[in-house]
Amino acid sequence: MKKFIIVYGAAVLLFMGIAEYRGWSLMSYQEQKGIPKSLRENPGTYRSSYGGVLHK
Amino acid sequence: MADPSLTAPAPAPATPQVKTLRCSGCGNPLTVRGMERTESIACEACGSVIDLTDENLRIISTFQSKIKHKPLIPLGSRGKVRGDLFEVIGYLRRAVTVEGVDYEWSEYLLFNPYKGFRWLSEYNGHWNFLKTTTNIPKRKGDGVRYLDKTFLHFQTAESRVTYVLGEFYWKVQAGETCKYTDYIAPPLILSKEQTAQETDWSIGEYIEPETLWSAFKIASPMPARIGVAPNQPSPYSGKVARLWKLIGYLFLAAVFIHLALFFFSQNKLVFENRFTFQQKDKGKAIVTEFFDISGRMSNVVIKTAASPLDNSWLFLNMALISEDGRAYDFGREISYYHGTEDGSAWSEGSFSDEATLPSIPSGRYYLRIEPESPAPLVNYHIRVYRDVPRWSFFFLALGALCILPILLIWRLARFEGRRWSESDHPGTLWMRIPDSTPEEETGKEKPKGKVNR
Repeated sequence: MKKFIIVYGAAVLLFMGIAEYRGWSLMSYQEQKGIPKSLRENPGTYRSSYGGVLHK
Repeated sequence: MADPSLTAPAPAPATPQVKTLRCSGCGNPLTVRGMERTESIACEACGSVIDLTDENLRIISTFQSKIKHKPLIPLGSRGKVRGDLFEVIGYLRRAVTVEGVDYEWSEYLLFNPYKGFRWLSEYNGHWNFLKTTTNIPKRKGDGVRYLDKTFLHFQTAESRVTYVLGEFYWKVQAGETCKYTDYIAPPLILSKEQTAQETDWSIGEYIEPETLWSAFKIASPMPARIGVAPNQPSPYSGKVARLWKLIGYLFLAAVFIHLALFFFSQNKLVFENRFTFQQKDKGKAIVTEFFDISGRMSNVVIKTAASPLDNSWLFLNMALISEDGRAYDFGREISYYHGTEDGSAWSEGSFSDEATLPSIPSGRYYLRIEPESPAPLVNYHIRVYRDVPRWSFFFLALGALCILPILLIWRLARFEGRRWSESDHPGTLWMRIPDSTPEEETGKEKPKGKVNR
């Protein structure tokens, strides 16, 4: 039992350490690749995943 | 509390001193093993209980039991219990009726010419080894104090003798009753037995059936243990404190790791600018200038603040875009509403927001921002931070570390709940701490005498 708790605790601490070190977050976002450099000249051409969201 | 001597090889048994006689009721031969201390003996064949102190071997009662109970430990068996050799000389069954239901248990009278009498009691496969107390326990609240331990009240009921076999040191009567009160401090139990003539106390200790089977060399299978006995030691007690201690060390390690990462994080402001949204800009996106995000792969926190927001909202459809064409797309809403309802003011939302993008590699980035709002004009302020220490995983880790002790406490509570469900205090009373009522001597009780259980 003690061995299991130590292994379990070490795993939790390792997970916490990696999560904090790598800056993990629970926030949802979308990653897109291959965005053309021309976007800076014409930002309206970007198709956002969050476009068209309804608000209050 | 296990006695290692129980498993030690028994010395060569001395020849038991026995006396034989014939039953006054049926003539069946009877063997008396308890020497002069035996006052009555029950005949297995006819159920007659014979008074051995009477020269005519008078029959004092007769058990008309339809069921012939067979003791699990046969009469005449000898075994070493708690370091002393005992012989089983008597067996009786007692019953208690609670809410119309009869509960029966067995009691075995043990005898050693130098140590005197002891009892083994068995109920639902649980065993106790009992002896008369040498002192009167002191009352404390509704429990008692004895041997520097507090015993909690468990049950009070009236029991009756339903079956006897073998010999006893008192004149056992068919159907004789006594009021008994059990107090527990696992693995110990204190029993107070009251009749019209006297009050006796006995103390018992929970004993593993394997120990008895080995001590008395019993060949028959052990009865399965059912439920939890009043004084059965909890397999979880003591473990909880040890587990919390271990978890405490893990907590400290978590705090150390978190603080180390907290102080070594950059928490660096890499971009800041103020913008204004107007209705004429609706549907238009803007991009910021490039800014550098440096260091190891870590988070990026985008903090936004907006004003004025008066019962309104501002939605920022944002993307953090790298020079090499990767975009992290997210949307955030800032809203603030307030008013008065039934004479009391209320508000919800806030003027600021914070978004954390995880594991962003270093590089040159810019923000694409597409604002939306029903308000005619909203000013908003955006700040971007690199490698910001967060508390969320620290608290998640603390929660995860607490799971095991909570699970153990739940199992302990379930075990204790099963124990106390058979008592006069079902429910959650097992959690009570004995109160601080001053100790007082009990009344007219005698410390010594016949121990019926």
